[in-house]
Amino acid sequence: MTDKAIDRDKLIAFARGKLSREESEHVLAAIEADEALSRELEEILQLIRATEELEDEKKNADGRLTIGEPILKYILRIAAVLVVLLGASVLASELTKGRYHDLARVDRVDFGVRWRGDAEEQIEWARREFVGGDRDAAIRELERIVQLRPAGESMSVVHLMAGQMLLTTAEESVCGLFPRYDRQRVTRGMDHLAFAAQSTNNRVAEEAHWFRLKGFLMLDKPEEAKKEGEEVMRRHGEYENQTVILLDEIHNQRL
Amino acid sequence: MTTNDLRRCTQPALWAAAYKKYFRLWVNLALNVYFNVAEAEDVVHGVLQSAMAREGEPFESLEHIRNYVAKSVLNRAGQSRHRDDRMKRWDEKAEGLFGVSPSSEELEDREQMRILRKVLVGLNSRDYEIIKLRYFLGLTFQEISDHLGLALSTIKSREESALRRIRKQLRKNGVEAVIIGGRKANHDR
Repeated sequence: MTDKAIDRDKLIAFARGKLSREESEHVLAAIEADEALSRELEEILQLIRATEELEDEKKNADGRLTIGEPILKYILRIAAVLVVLLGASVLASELTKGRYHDLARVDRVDFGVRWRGDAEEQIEWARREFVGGDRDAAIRELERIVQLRPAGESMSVVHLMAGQMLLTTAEESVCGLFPRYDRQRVTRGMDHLAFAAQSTNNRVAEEAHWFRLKGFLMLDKPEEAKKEGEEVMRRHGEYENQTVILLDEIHNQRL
Repeated sequence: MTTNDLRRCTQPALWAAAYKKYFRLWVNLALNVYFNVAEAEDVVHGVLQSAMAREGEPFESLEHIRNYVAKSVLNRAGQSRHRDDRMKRWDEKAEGLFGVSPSSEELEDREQMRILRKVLVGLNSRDYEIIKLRYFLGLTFQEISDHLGLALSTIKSREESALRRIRKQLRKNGVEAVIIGGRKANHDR
């Protein structure tokens, strides 16, 4: 039979030692006589122990590292901070990126113009080096040819290739973030391409103008890029269709 | 403490489980009389020393030990104490006691505690706050009401609903026999 005088408050007080000796004895006698009270006391004792353990853990987690869950929480906290930092970096990276950055990108270059004549072997060697990965060696070799044979027949092709290579390798970033184009490299490439653009060979000139279009976009100069695009289209060559699309995208970007 | 004393403790695993489960309760009860934690612990250890060496019928369950020791602790008031001697004997006894493998009761208790903690962590912060104030800090409904600035009836109904949620989760996790007790639990079923 349950002792109605012993409510849960009293049981909690008993479990926490808050009752007088006489009251404790009374509660204990009731607990011994009543299975339901005994079980309720068990529940209270378990809740007291569990909350004490949880509060202890919280206290430990606030001050220092402990084993188990707190370490996991600590790792998750660090991971959350890293995710926030990464997100902020990506956002900042996008915000600081040049307006025409993506349109200007040159992913690959085919070196479609082939040359048979003077310096043929050096030009072919430079092409292979570039494709093989040693890009700077390839550019150095082409610029060496320019210095040795400034009036050579192959010059327009050498300048075109040097310009293409410099623009293709001008993009730089910090671990994939904050991409930008190395202006010095772009300007150097544009000088080579300006020479190639004067070639009497229509194919060489068209390709040079196409790459100068890209170069001006790298330098955030859409007006100049547009003029180069018009030069490409005037030649009705291989790059005509791509140029139409690109000029349209430049136009949209500017709106 | 002699080997003979240890031999007389016929249920070491059960005592170890009871000690881990109820030691705090016994000390709390002893604090009523001695007002000093060290002395209260000393009294509990003294009672345990005698209880474990007791001859006669073995204890049937953890609750049986809980009640027996609680009663003995309350009866100790006013008795003379020989702290140093008793503590020495208890330390020797405890050394033998905790060397035993955990009993099924102790393992069950540990598992229940693990599940209960998980359930408490899963409570929303409002419910956990009430449970914490009530059981961890031992506040009465009135004190919690004053502390949180909420009506007494609100506090009571929140505790009831939190307990209902806890019991439901415990039942889901297969914990029923011991923890689901009491008068309110019966209403919940």
